[in-house]
Amino acid sequence: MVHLLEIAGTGLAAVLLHPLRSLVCVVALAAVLVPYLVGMALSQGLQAEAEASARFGADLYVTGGRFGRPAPLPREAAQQIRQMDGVADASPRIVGEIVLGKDRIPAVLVGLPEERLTDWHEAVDGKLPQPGGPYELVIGTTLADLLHLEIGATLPPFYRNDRGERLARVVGIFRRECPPWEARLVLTTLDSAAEIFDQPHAITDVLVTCRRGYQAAVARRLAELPFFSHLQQSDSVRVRVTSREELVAVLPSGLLHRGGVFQLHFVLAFAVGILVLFVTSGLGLAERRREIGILKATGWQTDEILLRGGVESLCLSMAAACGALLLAWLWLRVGNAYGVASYFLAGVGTAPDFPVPFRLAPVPALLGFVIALALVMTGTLYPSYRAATTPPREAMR
Amino acid sequence: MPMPFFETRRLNKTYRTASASATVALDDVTLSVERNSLTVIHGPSGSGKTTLLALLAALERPTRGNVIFDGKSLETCSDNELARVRRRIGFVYQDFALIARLSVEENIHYALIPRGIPRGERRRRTDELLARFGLETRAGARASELSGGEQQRVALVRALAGQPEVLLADEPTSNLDPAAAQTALAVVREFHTSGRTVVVASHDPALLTLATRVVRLERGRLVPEA
Repeated sequence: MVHLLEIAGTGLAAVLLHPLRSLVCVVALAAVLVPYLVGMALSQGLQAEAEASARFGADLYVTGGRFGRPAPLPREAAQQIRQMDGVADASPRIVGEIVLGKDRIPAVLVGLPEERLTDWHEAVDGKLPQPGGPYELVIGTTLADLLHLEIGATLPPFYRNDRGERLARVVGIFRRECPPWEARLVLTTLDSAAEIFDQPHAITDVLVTCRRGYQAAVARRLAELPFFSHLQQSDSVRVRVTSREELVAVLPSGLLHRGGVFQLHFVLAFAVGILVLFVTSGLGLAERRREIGILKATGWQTDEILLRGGVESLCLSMAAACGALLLAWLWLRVGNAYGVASYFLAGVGTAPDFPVPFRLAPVPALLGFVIALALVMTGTLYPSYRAATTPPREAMR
Repeated sequence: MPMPFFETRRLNKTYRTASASATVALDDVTLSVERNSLTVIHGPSGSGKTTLLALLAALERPTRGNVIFDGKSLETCSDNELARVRRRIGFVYQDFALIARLSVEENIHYALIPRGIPRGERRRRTDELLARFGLETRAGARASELSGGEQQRVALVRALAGQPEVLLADEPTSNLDPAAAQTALAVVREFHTSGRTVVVASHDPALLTLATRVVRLERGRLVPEA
């Protein structure tokens, strides 16, 4: 046992014996691992954020659909739902896409009744939108930066409305620590949103809060509500009810899809990484081959040479995995996912102007270490084995 | 009749070069090396002395023929068995075969680790032999920082530190100054008189005087001494 430990000790010394090779190997490994760790951390961070948002949202989401596509619901839908047994509140909402400025920057406009806007109070610098006068808007940080808007700034009409257009005024900006979804959000009153989209009697969905224990019953009875049966017959709009649990269940698949795309890119990087490591492991190969030849000539067995190489690989992979973890953390925390956040968040530029959520979970980190080990083993052990099974005099030449 | 320590039977070693031409390094060499003998192999450069020593030390395999070490045919030995044979042999290489980036001390210790010699004993043997060869102040120096003569002495120390049953040495005094060569000769003589076997390839007349047997190689063949 002591003998094996001493052989293992020579593996540790081998890392320092070839500093250039070790350094290049660790750098090449870290270059492969860092994007993987960053991608997985972002994917999981965004997933956690989305789940939290869904968990703190409404119990039921009522939307309309026609031919499988979203269709607006009449405004009275919220009133009808509010009258149902077991419903504590039913709030209409308008969600739609707009473009702003001469560069046609895309944004998501959300309209809520005034009484629901107060929920956003703590997330906003400035004040919340009020009805009347120019349209009052709260905008996300990305929009504020891209359009150079501050609180009090006025926007010329950015929509077409046959009944005339009005100016819009920025009355608040979402705080930077808000979830990333708010970065390109425009929040206003329900009436303002209805006028901006020129749909005065329509909403996109109803957010339903149920009394305790009523959620399943309300969800079941919603679809049978005469109001919605009539809507289906007259406008061919089918109502769809999504519970919070269903929303949470659907979220990971969407975000993991992004993670999957990123993993696909990583597989390509992995394939390239192996080649890079084969090249880097070739650094000083002749010297290592001679070294192994000398060890064999002085009585080392092949398995002892491989143990030495294995320990060396283990040390290099641990160094690479720890380095990659640190670099990934720095990239996410200090660099705020510079250059990579746009893979996961639509509309986000190279340098996000809000704190990008991330979670460096242990499983991807551990997987990173395993990948590093597999790569170094491939690059180190095979040439070592080849040298060790060659007659020593030939290896020493 | 006692069993020879080494025996070669019709040993042949041919090297093929990139141009596909073949160089016969050893041709039909049949030789016995008795236990406790001091055999000197001499002959002109390129006569096959180094190749013969390498084959005796199981550092490579012959093209044809067989080497028998202490009654065991090396032809049928596995890789690990050959490694165990090498642990019984101390080899001094003509080019020293030191790991350039390791210190003198580490070069010696690395040869002792697979023999299972404890750290303290390794240190004791190394210090003692280095002092004997006047290298005690160079223990921490990298092998690449040593002169040719110093490297040759370290190679001798490494070969002897394992307390092998047999010492094979390829021109062990060729790079040494007269004083160091005297020390090396004294150590070889001591090794032999302690009842162990020595095979040396050398042109050194001083070593020839110590030999119990002299073997001459010419163009890869053994030739009878005049």
